[in-house]
Amino acid sequence: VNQRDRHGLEILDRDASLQLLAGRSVGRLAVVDGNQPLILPVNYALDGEAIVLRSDDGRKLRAGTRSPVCFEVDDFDESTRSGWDVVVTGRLEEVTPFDAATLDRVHRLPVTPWAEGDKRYWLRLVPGHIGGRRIPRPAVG
Amino acid sequence: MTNAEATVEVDRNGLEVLGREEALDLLARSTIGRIGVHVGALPIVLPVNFLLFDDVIVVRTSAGTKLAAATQHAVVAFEVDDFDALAHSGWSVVVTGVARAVTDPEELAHCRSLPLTDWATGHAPHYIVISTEIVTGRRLPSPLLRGRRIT
Repeated sequence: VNQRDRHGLEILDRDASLQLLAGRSVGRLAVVDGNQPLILPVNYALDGEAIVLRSDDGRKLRAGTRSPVCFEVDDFDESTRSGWDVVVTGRLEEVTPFDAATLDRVHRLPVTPWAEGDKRYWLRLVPGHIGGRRIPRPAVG
Repeated sequence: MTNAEATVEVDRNGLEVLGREEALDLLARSTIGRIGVHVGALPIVLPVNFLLFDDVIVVRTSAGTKLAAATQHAVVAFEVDDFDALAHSGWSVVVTGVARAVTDPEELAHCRSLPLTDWATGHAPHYIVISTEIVTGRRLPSPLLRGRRIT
């Protein structure tokens, strides 16, 4: 039986959270741009424990590589009012040709942005904290 | 091409730009959103139950949480989306607005009367409202509709 937090939610540990992350391909990246939080949906894949995403030279890169970021993935079921969410905090770094081994590795990951646009930059979220919560399905009856 | 199609604005990533009305309509039909706040320089995103009432986002959370503390008259981001992993399509709406805690007894009574449940807890509810002056939205049509293959 998993541990519960004070709201009765099951606490997902790092391993359980990573397993859930591995099963999805769209998450939400939060960065602070100036003094404003931004939330951007992104396609991603995992490189070990790191989250790999692609970007053009837009807001993710401008705001994200200078400061800590937060990444969130969830899956909720309206009909049973159950689901889970995983939150990762860490630092976003650009993978450059100076780290050829990493660049080569991330290039082979299935990170396929659904949107068009020149997503020439490969970003890697190096995680600090990884954790999640699960709202269990209510018992039947 | 119809007039409706001709007026769809597309951003540099090929995403359709949603107008305010359409974005608010999508918010009105959703029940779970993600609120983004920053604690110091660290952004935090958390899923929350919400409801759109009179063009204002009403979020229900629990008293005494980090979220409750971080949303006192702070600028927050609020995001709702729906993506189809098979079709590679979907939409997202992001609101940037000032959040405040509901403390006025009359407003609190009104919030309690809304059909807004918190899936997570039966704890004492705490309501946060977020104004929707700044609403942006994007839609990603399926590649099949854009004459592209899904890879």
